[in-house]
Amino acid sequence: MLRFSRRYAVRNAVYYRAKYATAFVLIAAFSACLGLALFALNGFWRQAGAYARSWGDITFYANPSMIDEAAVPRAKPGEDSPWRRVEAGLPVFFNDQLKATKYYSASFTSGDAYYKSGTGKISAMDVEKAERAWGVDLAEGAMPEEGEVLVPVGSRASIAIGDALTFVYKNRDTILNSFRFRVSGYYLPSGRNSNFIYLSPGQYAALDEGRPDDTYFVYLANGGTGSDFPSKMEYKKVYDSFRKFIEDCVGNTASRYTGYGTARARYSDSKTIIEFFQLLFGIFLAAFVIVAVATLVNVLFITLIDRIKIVGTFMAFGMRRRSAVFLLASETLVFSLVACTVGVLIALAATGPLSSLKFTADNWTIAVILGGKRTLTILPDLKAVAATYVAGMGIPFAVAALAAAKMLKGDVVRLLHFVK
Amino acid sequence: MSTRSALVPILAAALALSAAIPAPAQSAEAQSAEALDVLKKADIALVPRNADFRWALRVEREGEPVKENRFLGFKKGDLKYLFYTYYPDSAYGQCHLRIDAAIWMYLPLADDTVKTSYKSAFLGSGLSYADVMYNELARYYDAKIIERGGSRRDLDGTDHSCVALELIARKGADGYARILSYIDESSFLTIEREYFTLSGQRLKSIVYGSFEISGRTVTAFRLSIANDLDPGQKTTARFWNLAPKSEMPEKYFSLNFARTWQPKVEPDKQ
Repeated sequence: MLRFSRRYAVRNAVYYRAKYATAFVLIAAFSACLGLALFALNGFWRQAGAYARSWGDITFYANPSMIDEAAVPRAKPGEDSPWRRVEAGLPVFFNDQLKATKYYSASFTSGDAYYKSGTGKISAMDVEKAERAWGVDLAEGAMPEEGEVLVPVGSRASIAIGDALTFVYKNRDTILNSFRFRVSGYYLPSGRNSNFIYLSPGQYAALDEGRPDDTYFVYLANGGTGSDFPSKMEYKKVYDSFRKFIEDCVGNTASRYTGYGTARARYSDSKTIIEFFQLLFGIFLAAFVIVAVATLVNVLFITLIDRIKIVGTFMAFGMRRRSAVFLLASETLVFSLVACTVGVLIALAATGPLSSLKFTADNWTIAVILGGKRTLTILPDLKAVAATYVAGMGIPFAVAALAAAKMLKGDVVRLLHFVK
Repeated sequence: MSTRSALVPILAAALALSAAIPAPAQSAEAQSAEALDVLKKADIALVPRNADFRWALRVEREGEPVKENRFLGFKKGDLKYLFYTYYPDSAYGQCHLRIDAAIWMYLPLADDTVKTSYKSAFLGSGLSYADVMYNELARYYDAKIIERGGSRRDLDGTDHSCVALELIARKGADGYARILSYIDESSFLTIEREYFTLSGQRLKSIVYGSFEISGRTVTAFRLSIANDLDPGQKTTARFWNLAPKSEMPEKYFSLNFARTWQPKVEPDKQ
């Protein structure tokens, strides 16, 4: 029977291709849409993992202002100090002992931004360090020069380019200081770095002269992929080594004022957003699949009614019902295989153009979903392709088999005068 | 005889010189001590060291509804403050606490506490937490007299003969880099303060007035804040029912107390 079906399935599929045309288009469209949706979901998971890593796999925070200055003196720019030795030694330390693939050092000062129509809590950061650490994508205007500041695009409603902004903050001696800047442009915030104003390196240095870097982003060789992260113990091991290193460079007092954050913890922080997005995506996907399958069942039913008239003739000459059902299902399978392939190819072709579409949305939660560049992350992978084939071929095959079995069994056949 | 008489002026000159050399240093120290003394007196002239009181904060901004909050205030030294909101009803029970160096806000609807910074704006007004919870400036600033007898006008337009103090923040003091404080020479009431950051930018000025005095104690006063960074906003505050307390119970100054306390608040008469 199988041999018979195999033999005639391909031949019939070619011969009766006109009858399957509508079903073919529908299956191809269904596979293309499903494939794209699965690629986008795959991209989203990767993006969510990348977002969690936007501050490194493990982020060390040192707080030099908490350290007794008599024991660890503050350095003027260019001068040597234990903290400068930490900065100089860290990349070597990470590369040699922890197999970190990348290392960034950064420092930022938290304060309040006052502008024409409001105020907001914000941190200032050196724009060049931000570019190295997570990239700065300009939405409008220009990069900041001396006396200028780059603000998140979300503040466009309240600050215009050229407006004045006063940044009030407390320095390392916990004394209030302030600077007045001109807004040079807007940047597209990405996840973790939405609450920053970016300053030129010289301008940032003027905020708190001699301030050493106190935040270190470290990308580990074994940092994991997607939503897989190292275990808490592995992170702890890295942190302990870091503390030991600080202790060697600056002393025990300083090492007490260090802490760390992990990509795993940051991923957990944004889990609500991720889960909410997944739920929404799941609902839309389910609705799409239900509508698509209902339409597909309808179209396949009509196609099969046409085919059953012919198969019924074969049955009159002795063809068994089981063979007839299998023949019709196999024909559908051949068609859906071709249609699915076309659909997957369309999905793969659409990946490039769709990935370059840019969404200049202000909200940082969009950045969690879309990433810093605010583009759709559509990542084809084998699992998604396999799932598309399973759905795109399995559903028509099952529908065809069930429909044919039902029709050849009862009233429809009688209605169509195949059996007297 | 002539030799003796010749020595007298030399000795006198030497004595005068020896007295004169350390004189500027002593005078600077004395001046600083005097300035600090004036500041200490001014610190407790308006709000006593331990006190309970009521106070209201009014924030006006063009095109927006006027916001007013009223609080029951408790102060123990300068390290412990509790402000319990009793008006408006929507914020009833909201507490602002200073316990040593930490400032907390208790939100009854969420039953949650939020830690905040001394430099944060107090309820979006021109006042910061430092302005309302760091009243004993002598703790945090070094003082210097820069002018005596200058005239300053209070909130009601009355002139006061003032001593002008320049206050410079001590390291780690949690405060403004520099404050100019104008204090009435006779009553030690603060008439005006100007606040500056380290870069020299003026952040705000506060003018005091409408003082009501009973015996030697101020029972009520008002203040008006002009915020240089937010000129469109007008913040005023008034303090009344100010009563010094010899003993202020420690119980007021804990997060658990703020969570559970349900005071009977008498309606305001004024």
